[in-house]
Amino acid sequence: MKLEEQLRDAPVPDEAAAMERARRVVLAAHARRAPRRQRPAVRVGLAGAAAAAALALAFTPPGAAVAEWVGDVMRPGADDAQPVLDGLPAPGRLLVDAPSGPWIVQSDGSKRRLGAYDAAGWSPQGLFVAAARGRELLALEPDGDVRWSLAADRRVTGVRWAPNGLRIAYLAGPALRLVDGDGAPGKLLAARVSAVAPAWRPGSPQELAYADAAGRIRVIEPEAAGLRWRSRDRPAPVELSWSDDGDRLLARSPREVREYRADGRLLRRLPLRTSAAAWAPDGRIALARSLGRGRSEVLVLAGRGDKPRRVFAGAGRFSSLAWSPDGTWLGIAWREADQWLFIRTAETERIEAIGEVSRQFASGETGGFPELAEWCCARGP
Amino acid sequence: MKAVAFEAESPEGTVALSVDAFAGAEAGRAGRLVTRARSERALLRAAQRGSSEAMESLFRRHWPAAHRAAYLVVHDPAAAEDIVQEAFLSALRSLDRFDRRRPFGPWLHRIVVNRSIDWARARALRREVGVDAVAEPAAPADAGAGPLSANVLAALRGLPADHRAVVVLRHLLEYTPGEIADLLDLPRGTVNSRLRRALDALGEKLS
Repeated sequence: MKLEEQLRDAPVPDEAAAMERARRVVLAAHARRAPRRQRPAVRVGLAGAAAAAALALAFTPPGAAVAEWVGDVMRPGADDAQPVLDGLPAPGRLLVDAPSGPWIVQSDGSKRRLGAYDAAGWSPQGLFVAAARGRELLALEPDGDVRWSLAADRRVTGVRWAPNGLRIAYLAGPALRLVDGDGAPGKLLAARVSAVAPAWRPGSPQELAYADAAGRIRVIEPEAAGLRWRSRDRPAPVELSWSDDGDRLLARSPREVREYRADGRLLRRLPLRTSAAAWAPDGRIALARSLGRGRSEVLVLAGRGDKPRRVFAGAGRFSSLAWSPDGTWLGIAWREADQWLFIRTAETERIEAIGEVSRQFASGETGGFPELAEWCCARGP
Repeated sequence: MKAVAFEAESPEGTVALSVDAFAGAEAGRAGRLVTRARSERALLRAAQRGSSEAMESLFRRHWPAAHRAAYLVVHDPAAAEDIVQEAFLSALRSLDRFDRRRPFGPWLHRIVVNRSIDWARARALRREVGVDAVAEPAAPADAGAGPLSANVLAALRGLPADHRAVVVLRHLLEYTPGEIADLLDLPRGTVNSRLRRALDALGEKLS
């Protein structure tokens, strides 16, 4: 066989999918570009300029001046983004973490701001929301009414409701504390820990993972005051999360992602710079990964032996991820584009984009990009 | 070879076209090239005026070869996708300034292949350890590929990036050594010597 034929026949991985992804991006960019005779003045947004500068530094095509790159910028984002969130693509309620406070978005797109709280998380059945405001820990009804509140001695962060609904773990300054789900005072679990939200393991008995002050991962049984296991080294995670079946723990550090078995055995280490991670109900993992040069991608990892699949890539950074409760849709917060993307990962891939999300979750003078916190249960009030 | 000049009517007025006319079997190819060039100019004109259909036609016409070329140089599926996507976006940014009398393909290929060489060189310098734990394998055992194609992939991987590039430009994209020299801003002699060494090395690996 001639060399030409061999080169033409050589397999190119993911060829068709790559073409389709690029087709969407290129056509979206083309649609945003004004036709020749009606071209307006070029506006360079801060994020767009940053992306263009990153491209200019990385790639300077022969014969083209850098000025050509910087002066003509394509703003990141999907062009056909809806200007208004008029519904979620899958059943459930979405808890949103915005600078204006936490919001709950219903399936039909209606939304309610809970109040001027710093952080929030769903109760196991989505009946309540645990929230923090300064040195106060609160349990809220989904309409924002305060069910109970508890004063702490230090600023409250990292609030997490236990799977059985009976406990809430939280950080008060550097300390890890526990409170009953009805607000009755609880106990001190650890005096000094890392500023990482703890993670409850689904199932029984109740186990809680946290990062100690040295950056080691510890898993404890709060009720029995016992240490189940701790990591041998100090991965210093910035995020901890358990799979829905409680079999695996994901520890995300700035340059690495680790997956542990429930008994503490390290299953794999992935040297990735990630900005977000999320478990699907069926055990897949979505990771938002930085590719450098101002670009990022979202990967979905299935089993250990399977190849990761890229579901999206674009300029900028993807700052949060959330799976729908049925695991068919993946929500991606795209800060530089001021968009949320919802990608259907089952059967036929689809992408739905919601634009101008900062404006939609602003309150009074308080604006800023809203992050996807938790996409909860289809049933509930 | 006999140079033949044509005049063609277009909305911009009469433009002059020159086509090298080849005797015998080449004449048909020359005719097809002229037809394709004319339709591509029409597509470019329409794309410049905002036609998404024209832009999509251009994309579909040029993506497959450009993507294959990038992959054969970088041997990284994600990098190949990014490089060619960015090349098209670069084309969009320059679309208004693009001279429709010039063919689009070589302009695109120039960007793609040069970036691919840069990427491959940068990767060799970075020696990214562990990235392959997530990135797809450089030479996947594709069930649909024949052993010959898989062998040529493996043999290509053993060449330096700039040698892979000249092989791809010559034997996949079918540019002449002179055209390759223009695309890569190299002396023609350098192109010829790289091509010769690359083909010798491929011959040894594949024999």
